[in-house]
Amino acid sequence: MKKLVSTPAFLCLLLTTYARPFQADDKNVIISNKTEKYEFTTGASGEPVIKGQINTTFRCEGFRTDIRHVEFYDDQTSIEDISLKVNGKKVKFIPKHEYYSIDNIFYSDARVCHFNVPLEKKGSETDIEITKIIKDPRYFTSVYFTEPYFTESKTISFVVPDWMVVEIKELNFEGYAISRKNEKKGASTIYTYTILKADARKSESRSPGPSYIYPHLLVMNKYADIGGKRITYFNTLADQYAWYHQLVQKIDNDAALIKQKAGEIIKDAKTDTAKIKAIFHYVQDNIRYIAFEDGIAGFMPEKAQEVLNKKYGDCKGMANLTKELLKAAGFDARLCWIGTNRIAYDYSTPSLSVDNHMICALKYKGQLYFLDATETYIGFDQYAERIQDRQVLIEDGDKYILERVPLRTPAQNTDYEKKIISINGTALTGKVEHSFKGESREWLLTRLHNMKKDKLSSALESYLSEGKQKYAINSLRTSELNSRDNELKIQYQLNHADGVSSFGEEYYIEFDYRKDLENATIDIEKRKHDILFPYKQNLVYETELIIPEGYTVSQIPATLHVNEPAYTFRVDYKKEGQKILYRKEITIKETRLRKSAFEKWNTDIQQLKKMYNEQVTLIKK
Amino acid sequence: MKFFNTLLSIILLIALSVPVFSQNDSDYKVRAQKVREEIWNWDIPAFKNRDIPDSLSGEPAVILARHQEIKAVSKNKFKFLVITAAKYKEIYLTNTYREMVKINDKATLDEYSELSYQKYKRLFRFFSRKLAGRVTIIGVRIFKPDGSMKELDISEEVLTTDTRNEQQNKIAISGLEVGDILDYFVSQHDEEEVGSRVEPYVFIMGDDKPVLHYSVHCEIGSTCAVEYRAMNGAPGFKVRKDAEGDNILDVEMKNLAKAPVDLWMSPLRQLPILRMNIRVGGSRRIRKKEGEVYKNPDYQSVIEEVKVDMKDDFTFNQMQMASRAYANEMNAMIKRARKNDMVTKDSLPYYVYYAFRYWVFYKVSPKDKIVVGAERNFQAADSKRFLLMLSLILQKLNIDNEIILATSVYGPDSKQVILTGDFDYIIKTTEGKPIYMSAEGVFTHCNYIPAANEGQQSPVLTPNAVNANNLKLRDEALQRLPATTFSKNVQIEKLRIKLSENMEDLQVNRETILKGHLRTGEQKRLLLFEDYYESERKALAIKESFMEEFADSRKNKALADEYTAAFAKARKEQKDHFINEVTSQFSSKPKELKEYEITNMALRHDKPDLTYHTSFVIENWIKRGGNNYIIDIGKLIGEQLELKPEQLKRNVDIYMPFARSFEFIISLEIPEGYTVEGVEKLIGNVSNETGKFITEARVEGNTLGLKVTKVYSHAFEKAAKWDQLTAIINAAGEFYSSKILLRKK
Repeated sequence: MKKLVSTPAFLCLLLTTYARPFQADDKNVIISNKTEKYEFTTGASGEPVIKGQINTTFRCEGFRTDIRHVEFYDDQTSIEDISLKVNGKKVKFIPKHEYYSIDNIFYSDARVCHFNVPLEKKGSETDIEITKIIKDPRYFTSVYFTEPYFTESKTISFVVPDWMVVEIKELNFEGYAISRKNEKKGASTIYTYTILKADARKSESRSPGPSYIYPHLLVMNKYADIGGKRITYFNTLADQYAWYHQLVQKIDNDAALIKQKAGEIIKDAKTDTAKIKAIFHYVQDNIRYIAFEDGIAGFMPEKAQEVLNKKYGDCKGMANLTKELLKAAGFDARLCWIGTNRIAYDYSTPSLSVDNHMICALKYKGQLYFLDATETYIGFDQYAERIQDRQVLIEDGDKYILERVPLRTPAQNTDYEKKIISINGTALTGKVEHSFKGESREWLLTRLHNMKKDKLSSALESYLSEGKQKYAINSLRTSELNSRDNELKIQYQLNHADGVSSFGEEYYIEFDYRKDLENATIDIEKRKHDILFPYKQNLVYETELIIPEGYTVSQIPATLHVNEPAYTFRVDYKKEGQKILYRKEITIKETRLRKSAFEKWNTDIQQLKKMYNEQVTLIKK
Repeated sequence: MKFFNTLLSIILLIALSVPVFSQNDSDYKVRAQKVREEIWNWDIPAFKNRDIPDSLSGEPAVILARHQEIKAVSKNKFKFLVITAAKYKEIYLTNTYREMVKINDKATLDEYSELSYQKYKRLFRFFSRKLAGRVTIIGVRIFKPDGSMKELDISEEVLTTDTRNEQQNKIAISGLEVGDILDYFVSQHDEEEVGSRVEPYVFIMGDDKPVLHYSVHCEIGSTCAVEYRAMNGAPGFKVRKDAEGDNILDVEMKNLAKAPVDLWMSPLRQLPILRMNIRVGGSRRIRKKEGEVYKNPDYQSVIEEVKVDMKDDFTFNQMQMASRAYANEMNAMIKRARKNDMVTKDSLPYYVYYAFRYWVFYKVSPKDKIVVGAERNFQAADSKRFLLMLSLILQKLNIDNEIILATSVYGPDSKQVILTGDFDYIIKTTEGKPIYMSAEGVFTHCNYIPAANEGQQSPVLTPNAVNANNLKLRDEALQRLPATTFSKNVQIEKLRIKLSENMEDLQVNRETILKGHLRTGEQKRLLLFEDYYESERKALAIKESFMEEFADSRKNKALADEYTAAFAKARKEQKDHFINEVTSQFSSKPKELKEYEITNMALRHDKPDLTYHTSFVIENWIKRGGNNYIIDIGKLIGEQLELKPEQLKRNVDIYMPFARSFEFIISLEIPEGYTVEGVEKLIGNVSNETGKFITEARVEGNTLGLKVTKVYSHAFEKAAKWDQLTAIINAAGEFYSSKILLRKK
């Protein structure tokens, strides 16, 4: 009998195999050792450059597989060499180089080099060796310790010659086994850090930015004394500002054209405030956010007239246009650099990684206001959570002003609902008023305006009814859906068809339809990082139920008051004459919920859920 | 032709350090300029009209004009080609799509705010490396409400992919605002040595926006043949010949209302559509007469082409030799199995099917990647090749069979086909009671017909007289494929429910049975390769498992350990798959999943039902009112379809995936010290021609028994039956919000 080959060629033709999903937390593949060595040296032109040598050894702990290795680079970083060794033997491979497009960025100079890394069998090791050159020390800002895989040992070292002045700041070391050593070798100092047994990085939704949660080194390149001259990078914040300032001075805005446009925009505005708002809202309304981060364009705003003409721009382009229009209208407006709340640093550590955003400041009657037109539906003097209380670097000629964006309370973002309802059979019917302010309004309007206008009204109804037919919304009226100066007001007639359960001579009524945070229990075993809420929420829902003739209240649920530093929950029921009043207020006072607070949070959510499951009972007299 | 939408999803784009196409850039610019001039000057009045009828003023977008121009002619017809140097005599193909759209809201503005396209592509077909390949030229103009026009500077585009074979670009449409009219085109030119081929085109006379003018113009050289089919009420082309003898085809439609894009549709059977094939490459190869235009050609001509495809596959993949080897191996397996009395004459075709399925999907060789988690369950095969090979093996084993060319309910019916791809294959054995064989995936049974093919009237081919180089196929009469009824596609849920001691949670003990088309989705989600491999190996009487083989081999010994580790990981992940299954059935994540077990994997037609057991805790379905408790009993049947207001009226036919039924047998233990109220409100019966929703309830001792049956009687219903169907849907929706009261005695 002729035996068939074990994998007949034809069968291979037939099959489509699906890629294995990336799962790094199972420790099937680990990094047994990694070294990252960064040496300050001189490039071809004699200017300081950084040579990075990154060697990684992967080990297969369970079963053979392939993993994908990804290495990023851009205009300022080049990959000089990559080699791959499987069990000590060099193997040929073809890395793929691709354009890399990050969320919301239309085009950038970011590139990615990626390739498959085979792990041949259990116990086998594969090495990757990469040589990188960072052409300008300004762009060498941080080195992280943790990896996408469990790492047994990783060493990061910096070889700093005496001519280079660098400050290295250690961040988030707590809870990790990291040792450090400094040694002088010839004309250089070598700073060495070693981490042992580091868990894999875990990507989780609603996490604070990586600079808050992972151990890393912030590298601040101060200056170099080389070839008899000093090259200053960001020795002080003044140096960083000077570098930014020389870039923005080159913008070449067309003052005449902008003046004409500003004139058009404010022609009907009678007061200064009206003029400011008209300009701010013009940019919000008419400039689409499309970001180009190509080389120096990542730092230098596009000309105001170009943004105006193209009707799109990134944060820098929008900030610059807002500023130029305000200036043309006679106001004192400035460009500002700011790091959003995704970044753990402030300007006390001058570095390009301190900021990631640009807005416009307005100095008016001695007071500073900040305008961020990338927030399409935020009002004047209202601030998105991501910039609130953040340090902001404001241009001031050759100098700078360091300020903070005002901090706002949850009241800026109140989402308020008031229902006056009565019982009709098993339905709750009545009038509802709902209003949204600040970020809650922006959140809703952004989603609504993503809908086509013929679907907008039904989308709003569907949002309010949570998609349930039985929560029927009639005679819906709203305030102007593009206005930012007032709260968004919505009114409608409600027919909540199954709002009442009727058994025997009793009515059981569920007062809370929305049950906010009902599913907010945190899986403490799985969750690794703190949770970041999108903004400081303040939900106030009030219901007034008219007790029907011939009925009396048999049971009203107790109240719930939870007051924690980060949040409060208050649920109150009250009988007042022939009415039952219900009021719920949920306030997220601090957007970062720390892991240490998870257990208490879960207990409080459990109480809230229990509250939601309590019903009001009315009984026939 | 949504160039705009797709680009948003592009995340990783390929690049190479040295651009290969740059040497062509100056040629490209000159040529692009000429193309733009020509297209902007098209003499189509609709592109000059910028007025929207009042009745459409509330629309988010209106297509004022849409025109597609297809040319397959010799290149001397193109003015702009004078500058290109390539000398060859072939047909030159261009496809230009131009659209003028009025943008009335921000969402539409976003839709049209970027344009991404493939600027160059090297075409590999027939080794045309010396020629330019595919070149795409775009043009974009914006008309402002004041009548002014601005043409976009295409040099603002950015490169997003740059490899030896392709260049992708994208451009942000600058200056575009709500209220503008965008006039753009994408013109694709193929320059290559053409062998013979069929270029298919589809023109859909409908969109999610109203279209005021839609036209198609084709110029097809006299060396090509054209065939087209006008479907679902689409008008035919007007055909004439020009001075050179080329065929000119034109069609025009005006004032197309928004097409219904809705629940349970089959657009290829419901929207007016023109499908056209241009056959290029010389009379001998195109199998049609050069210079002819065939309107609504006979489906038999497509069958002839299927035969050619099959024969090509047969020859190029040396199927004759392979099938002989497989048949020999199969015979050996059958002999071994017969020793165990496992294969009778009647069961032989089944054995062959499952053995072949095992070879393709289950068998493990040392060189394979280790894939044993749920992703393995989603493997798919090239079903045509799978079935052709299976048919040959069956023949070699003297099991007569035919190949049914099955159409899909989501494509044209068998009389309306125009491409070989309109057919799927299904095998049917012809001796005794027929056995159907298809190749959907890892868990396909014998006698399983994919839902989309069910009930379709289908042509049949019988392979006969097979020899080394030739496959002869005989045409048979059309056959209607059997269709399953609602009693074959069933979900049965048996739920035994108790309240937790603190009266806050429901403890659910659940047995699930999934039959017919409702089975495979959960098999893919829940089954473990380790288990089904072993089950099938034993069922096929294969002596040694691959794990035993590896363990016995010095070379592969370590592999057995590795598979053990991989199996352990997959088994650990299975719990999450079960949690997801419970969550999707009840639209609520269980507070705790206590038990989960597959009780029948349903790997074969003789044990066809997937059954599993779960036990879990659900919270938030019990409400307290004083001393009494209200239970959301309706939620136990899983979330029900809710029709949106715009779906309540319907005037198009209803294409559901298949007829199906659902049965919930629920018993709730009434806690001591409580009585139950509201049971009578649970009882109901809505039945009509399209289906039923029946609920029965009664209390016996301390148990509330509830039986809920929901039936969708047919896969297809006429539009006129929509009200009846909505009655069923609404009855189920109504029940979903049912409640009962537990009253403290």
